[in-house]
Amino acid sequence: MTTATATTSTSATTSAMARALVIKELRENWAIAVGATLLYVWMVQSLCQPGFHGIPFLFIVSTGQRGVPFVDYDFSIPFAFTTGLLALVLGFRQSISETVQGTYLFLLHRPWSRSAIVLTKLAVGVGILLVCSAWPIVAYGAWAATPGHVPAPFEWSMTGIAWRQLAVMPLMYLGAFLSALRPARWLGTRLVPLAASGTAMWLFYLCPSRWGFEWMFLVVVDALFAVTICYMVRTRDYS
Amino acid sequence: MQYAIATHRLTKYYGPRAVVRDLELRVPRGCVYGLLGRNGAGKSTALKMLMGMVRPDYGQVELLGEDLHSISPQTRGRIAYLAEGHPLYTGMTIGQAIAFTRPFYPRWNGRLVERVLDHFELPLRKRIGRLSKGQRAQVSLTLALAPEPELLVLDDPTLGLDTNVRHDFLESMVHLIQRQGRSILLSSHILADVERIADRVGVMIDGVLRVDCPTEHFKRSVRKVVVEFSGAIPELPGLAGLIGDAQFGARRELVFVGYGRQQQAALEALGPSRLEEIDLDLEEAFIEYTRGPRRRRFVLDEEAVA
Repeated sequence: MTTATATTSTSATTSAMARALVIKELRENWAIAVGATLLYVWMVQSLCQPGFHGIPFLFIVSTGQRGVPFVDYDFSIPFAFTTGLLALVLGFRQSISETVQGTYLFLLHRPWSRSAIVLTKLAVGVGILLVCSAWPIVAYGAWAATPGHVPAPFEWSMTGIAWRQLAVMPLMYLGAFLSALRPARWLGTRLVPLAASGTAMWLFYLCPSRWGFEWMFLVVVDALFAVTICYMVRTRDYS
Repeated sequence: MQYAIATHRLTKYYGPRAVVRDLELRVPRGCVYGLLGRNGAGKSTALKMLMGMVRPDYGQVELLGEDLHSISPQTRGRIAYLAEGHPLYTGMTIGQAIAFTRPFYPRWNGRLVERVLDHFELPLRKRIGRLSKGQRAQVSLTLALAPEPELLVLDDPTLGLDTNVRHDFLESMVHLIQRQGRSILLSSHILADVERIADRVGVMIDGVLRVDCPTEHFKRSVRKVVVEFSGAIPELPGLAGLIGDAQFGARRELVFVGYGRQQQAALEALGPSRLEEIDLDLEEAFIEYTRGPRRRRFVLDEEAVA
């Protein structure tokens, strides 16, 4: 009976700790999420204009006519750029802000395992990334699926390319987080994890898509990054 | 004896330099221990190693009887750590900082938090980034004490605070920590602060703990002896415990560790016109002790002024 009570109490405390940390992370990163959402709103709204002539978005050149939704580059390039930017900013922001404020000393002294603390931070970061970036696919897909909007047949399976783009972005986020966390003498070596995540993203697109091999590859690489981050948080010096 | 903190040969290298070497620190339970040292002596690194924020290259740490490597979250929850500069989330308000910290601790003295905030007139809605250094130190101390820790580790908590704020901070700290059985390890540059509250002191010099004794014992052990001669100053014989020697005209100021009858007799044999023992406070004793034989006193003589 006593053990059961103690277990319940511990899990209640754990969920309370997790909630406190999630609220803190959301509070610190809401502005980034809002900024990304505004960019996506502008992107989707531009795509859904009746007289669409391409998005004047950095290197995107207007083709002068609407492409096939999700299959042509009208959506995928600005989407990949915005989502990648969001992943980078979130990853660096979540780690660097603790270093700059010196709050790793405060945060990591809380009576919770360091792995649990950092995994909660990562979960919030990946959550923000996925939630912010999923709705533009759904919104643009819903618009394209509405008869009369696109002079071509539309199947929801055509959004698969965009979902794959989104699924690979947590890798970039984890690479950015690890780059900011890992001590290094100069910028070149500091960015090694980011370069590794970029390579893994490229390999993902090269993977054969049979038997879900590509997804297994993605899950394994994501897990490797998460384990490395946990190891780094536990072992690095906070001097 | 039970120790709140016990280290064994704790060592940390940065490159080829040992910033902390073979540290054998023992803080008895219920003791207020002042860790002293000049800048770069290794105090902060030592405290960070104790808290697991810096990995030692060698050695072991035990906190409240548990090995640091396998310390449980429950035991960590019984230890408060105030890092240097009082790092807190500047974007949070005081209320948000409390709401964030509280769920991590099963025991939380909300009344104490209310009383401290009320006493220092710290509004819950004020952003931490807008607080003065002194106010931030107060918030930091409040957050550390609210879980009623058994062990407090404070890394230079009064650094950067002006005299009045420092005094208030220390007063509140003395008031709040006076609980039976609470152990405190405090590093500080302000020796008067340490003298007021520490039962025991440790002095680190170049990464090595050179002194570890009760505060009063340290003050009694380091003595300054002034000898004056009417004629030429004779050559000093070899004197046990002599750690400092400065000459000002016909006067010679000697600093001893463990000054006793033997040294006194040797000095009297030189026939001085005056021989006086001077009691030192902790700050003077620390300065004399850590000055070292190579670091001579800088004296502005007439030639230098001209």
